[in-house]
Amino acid sequence: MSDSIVKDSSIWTDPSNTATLNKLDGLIRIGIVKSAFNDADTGELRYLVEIQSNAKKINMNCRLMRRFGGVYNYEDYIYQGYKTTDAPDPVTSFEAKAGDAVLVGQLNGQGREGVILGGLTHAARQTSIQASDGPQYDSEFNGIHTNINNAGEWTLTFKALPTNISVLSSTPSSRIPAPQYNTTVGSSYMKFDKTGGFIVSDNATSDPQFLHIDKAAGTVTVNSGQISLVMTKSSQAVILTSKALTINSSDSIDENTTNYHLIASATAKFDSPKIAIGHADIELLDQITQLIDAIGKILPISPVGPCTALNTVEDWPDVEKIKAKINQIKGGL
Amino acid sequence: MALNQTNNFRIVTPHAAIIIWNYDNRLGSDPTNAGTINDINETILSTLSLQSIQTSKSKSSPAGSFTVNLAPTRDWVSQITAGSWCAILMSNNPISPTQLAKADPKFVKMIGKIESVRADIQIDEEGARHTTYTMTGTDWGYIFNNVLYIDNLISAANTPTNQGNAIAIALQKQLFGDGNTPQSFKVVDNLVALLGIFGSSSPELDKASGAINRINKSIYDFLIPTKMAQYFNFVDGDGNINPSTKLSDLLTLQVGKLVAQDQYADTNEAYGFIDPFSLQGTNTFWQIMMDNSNPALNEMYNEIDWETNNSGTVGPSLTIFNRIKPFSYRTDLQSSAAANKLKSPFTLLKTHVIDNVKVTSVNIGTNWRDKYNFVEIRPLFQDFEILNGWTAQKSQGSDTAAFNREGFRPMIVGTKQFPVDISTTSSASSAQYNADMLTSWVELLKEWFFDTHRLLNGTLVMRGTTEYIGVGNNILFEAGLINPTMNLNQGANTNTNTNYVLAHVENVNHTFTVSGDGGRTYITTIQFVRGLVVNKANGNYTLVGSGSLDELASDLQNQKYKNTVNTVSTSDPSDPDPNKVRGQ
Repeated sequence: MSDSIVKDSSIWTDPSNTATLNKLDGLIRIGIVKSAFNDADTGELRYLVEIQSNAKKINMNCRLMRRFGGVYNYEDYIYQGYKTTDAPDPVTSFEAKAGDAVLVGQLNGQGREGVILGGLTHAARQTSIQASDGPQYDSEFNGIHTNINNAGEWTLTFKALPTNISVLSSTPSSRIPAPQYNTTVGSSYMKFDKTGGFIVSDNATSDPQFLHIDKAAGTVTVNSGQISLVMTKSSQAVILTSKALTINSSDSIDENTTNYHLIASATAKFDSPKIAIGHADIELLDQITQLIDAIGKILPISPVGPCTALNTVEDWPDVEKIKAKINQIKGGL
Repeated sequence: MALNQTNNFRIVTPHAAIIIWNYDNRLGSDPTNAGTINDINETILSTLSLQSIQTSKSKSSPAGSFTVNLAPTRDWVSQITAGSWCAILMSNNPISPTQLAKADPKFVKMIGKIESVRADIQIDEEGARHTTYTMTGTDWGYIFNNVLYIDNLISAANTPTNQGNAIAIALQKQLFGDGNTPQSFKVVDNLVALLGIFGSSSPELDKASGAINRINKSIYDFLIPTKMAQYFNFVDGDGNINPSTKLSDLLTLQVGKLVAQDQYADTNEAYGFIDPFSLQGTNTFWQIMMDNSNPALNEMYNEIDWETNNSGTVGPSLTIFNRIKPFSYRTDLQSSAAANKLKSPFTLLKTHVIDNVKVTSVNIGTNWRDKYNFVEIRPLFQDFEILNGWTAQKSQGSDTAAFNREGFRPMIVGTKQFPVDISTTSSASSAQYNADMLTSWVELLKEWFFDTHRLLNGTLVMRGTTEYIGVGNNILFEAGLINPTMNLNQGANTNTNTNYVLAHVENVNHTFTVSGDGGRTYITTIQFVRGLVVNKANGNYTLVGSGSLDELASDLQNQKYKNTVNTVSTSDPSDPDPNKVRGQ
């Protein structure tokens, strides 16, 4: 090209002028969540994250990466921010700032908007599982603790919100203490154990309540303190232990067994408008009334000779009254 | 190069001088007494000391440059403090104390910042010692080459560390608003916010400073000597003489499209975001401004714009232009209504009329490499809503018929700003993203860049100009300087009026030389692009023919393209008339 040609700067742009325009920043950086909010226009969750870049603190608006991005299949969760003002934080230490420690990438390599790729270990948190114990999983969110230990046992524990959670919304001042829990409320859990068993327990310090499916023993145990219901798969036995047992059934109760044995050390009561006791076509109360009728027909022999039948005597109506009451409660088998 | 015999020669004695506001304090690693750092001694260099001056200003770069050779009348190395400001005056008019006391557009050619003063000593064969001093520097635009460094935690010395950097907070507000929701702002608003970093007021900066009880100014600023400010009487954006010594107070942002001769109106064509990572010390201020300028449609450059102030006098305005590219000239295009709203006519640019007599040479021609046949606007960010509407059908334009002959010549324009519906841009909150506007953007890009090979570029050399000719303006000179038959296009050949070339100033160089015998030469070299053939009437410029070279080369018949005015010839075997060769 001839040197005489004058190049139009609107076409032959000086690359240094547009260096920033064309610069891409593919770095991912650590950051701390300052606040979470819903976008005023779309309602979508957004985060203000203070990104750490070359010892600078740069506020950046971020979206959150989720596992699902479907219309019906989704996952939303809200990170923890912390109390900030326009002034610098009173302390610089991250262990005093409650915001979640996150890893942030930049959409399209531009600092206009970031995407939170995931979380990092917060400076104020102590890891509770040991690498030497092998692969494990441990997480907690709002007091719900999930653990999969190196034996493959899965435990979900309800700890309830930490009792000292207010420190997370305080102005940063010192290292944030470990969470404290009210075990009277929390510590309920459910667990798959390594034998294949499953337990759900309120884990109360006294008289705990639980359901335990013991796969190895073949039993199901339901306990509420001293109340116990034990079902044994092999013997098909059910043992219910309690101080009082009340069964209410509005329509019917059927009990079928070969041998029925009931011991009441003090009393036993059976209250029903109709009662039938017997077998096949022999019903006890029916037999009693028949017995009364039969007795009523008996002609006693006195020393002076045969008497009239007993149902002709003056007091026989009293017997009939008793018979009528028996007939009143007599049921059929 | 005279066209008129009555003006065939003219005796002119050019004049030059340099006013140096020479800093007394050279600064250093020792703590500086802030009270004395701007103390200056005013030094005036006249043609007694000046051997030569060269200035160069280009539209493509924010900072111009100058080189001055000085006679060894003093030890200039120790005399002149590097970093001092200066005014370079060159003119065909005599320089009197008046011009040394107050800036005059007929004299001032550059506002400079001295970077280096060097002595060059040569000993010839006879042992004679030849000493020349060379002073080099940049113009005022060097401030834009400063790296911008903003940190939330940086505060001025002696200020409590529990207070944030007002600038950082202001920019955060600009990014996220009060509710931390990402905010998009008009291009001009973002540029104003960035300029606010240099100490100018901005609404967000005011708000931020109120929140933290800090003065809403940047910690560092570019200060000029008081005497320099008094000399220039800078005109600010409101047309007032601004006596401030802070350059930040003196910068004027000129945006929008041309609506009348050298008059602009804001277009609010795009909205965008400031990238907070761009402000961390790795980019120059100019680069960051470019990043937020919507370069797809706008051109950004800086120049001294001599304006008549509200007092009726003319003064320099340090102007940053971020205007719609003023390259629309075609009157035959059927553009969409949206595109028409964005068009900035080339003929409305500030225009300097060149005196034919002063012109000593013109080199002019075409450049096929300037031509594109495909344009595409690409978003340099990701957003579902925006990308959904940002389709190739809207963001691409092409001249497919040209592909077969020229190959694929794409102009891919990246933008971090997104188009908004022009009708909804009266306020920031009401702007609506409108991908359909991309179609009009593409229309404009096609108009600006598909015909550039038919426009004229070149170099015009003239005896030094008295008038200040700024880059980014237009020049107008008689087409007859190029070709007496004025046959640039079909229209020019039949035009009964004078044909002119209206061209866009890309670079301006001034050279002032004092020869050994005291003779002075002052030459101005203007490099121009996008030259059109126009008529001039009542200060308005109308296209002659299509303005550019004709689309069809055959539109010019053979007798028209011969330089018949200055060439006397008949058809002969060495130069046959093509029609006769064809037997016509």
